[in-house]
Amino acid sequence: MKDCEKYKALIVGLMDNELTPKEIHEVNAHLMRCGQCREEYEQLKETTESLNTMSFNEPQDEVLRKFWKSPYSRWARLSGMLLIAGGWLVLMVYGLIEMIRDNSEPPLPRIGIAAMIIGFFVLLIMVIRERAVTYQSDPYKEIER
Amino acid sequence: MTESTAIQSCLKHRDPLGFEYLVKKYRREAYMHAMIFMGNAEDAADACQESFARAFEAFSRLQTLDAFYPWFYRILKNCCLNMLSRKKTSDRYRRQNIFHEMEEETPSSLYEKQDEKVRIWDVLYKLPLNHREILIMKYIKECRYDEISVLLEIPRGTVMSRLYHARKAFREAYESITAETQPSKEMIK
Ligand SMILES: [Zn+2]
Repeated sequence: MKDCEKYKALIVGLMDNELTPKEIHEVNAHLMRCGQCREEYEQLKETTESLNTMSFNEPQDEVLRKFWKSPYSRWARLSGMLLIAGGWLVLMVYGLIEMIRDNSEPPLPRIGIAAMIIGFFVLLIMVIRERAVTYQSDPYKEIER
Repeated sequence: MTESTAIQSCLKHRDPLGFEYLVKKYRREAYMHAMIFMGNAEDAADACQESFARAFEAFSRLQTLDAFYPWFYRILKNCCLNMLSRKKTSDRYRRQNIFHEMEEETPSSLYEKQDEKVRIWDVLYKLPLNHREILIMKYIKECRYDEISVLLEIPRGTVMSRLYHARKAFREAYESITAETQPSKEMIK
């Protein structure tokens, strides 16, 4: 039959329960008349029904959570770190000034404070250098996370 | 928050909270769809991460948006196709993380069902992309024709005829793979 092509799509619609009543009527009328389409209907139905039994593995929540990180959490982390570092810096500078001004202190605590201040600056410089290196090699740096 | 208020706040202020709402709502679906193209869990997750980042950026270039997911699906599909062409390896499809394979000690009747499922996945991932895409959307994700029509940007009649060709291609591939493996059943694994 020459207009079989047109009905092939409708046959799939019929199997999927997606046709309007008018379309159902049309395609049923055609199936009554056309043995070829009837055969095709049976074959398609048989092999593709198995698809309905398939399902995907559900993804883990931890996988899903990685898809997008709000920039808020990054800002919060950054500002927390800045506040702590800033506080330390203020205390260190204060200690240094006090130490220079007040010559009456015995030498041992003065050496202790000086060591802490030097240590702090060494660590600070190291962290800054490390951040700079990872930033350069980060392929996603233009993408906000 | 509803989807439309989330979209509005993304459009007006590029609000991360609004975007977070949309991500949470659609990330599961996005992952499943990425799976259609990528064929394994790791690449699907990478594609989703990159696509959501791109979508957040893209909001600043947008005037209006009615529904998030159809727009996002285009970004996701694009991203997947780019990733596929970037690393063109033939064995992207790794069946074990697409669905749960059973342990050896399952009863043999279940094991046969499992073999059947393995075969169906193998067939699906051998089909051309547009056939696999529409078959999975319709028969595994169980989308209706009007939903598919929106996501794929094709009219309903085309959905039906593409499904017809996809089902036919599936049947042919399934029959040839069954004919290949039928003589020696141990070979399937
Ligand atoms: Zn016919």
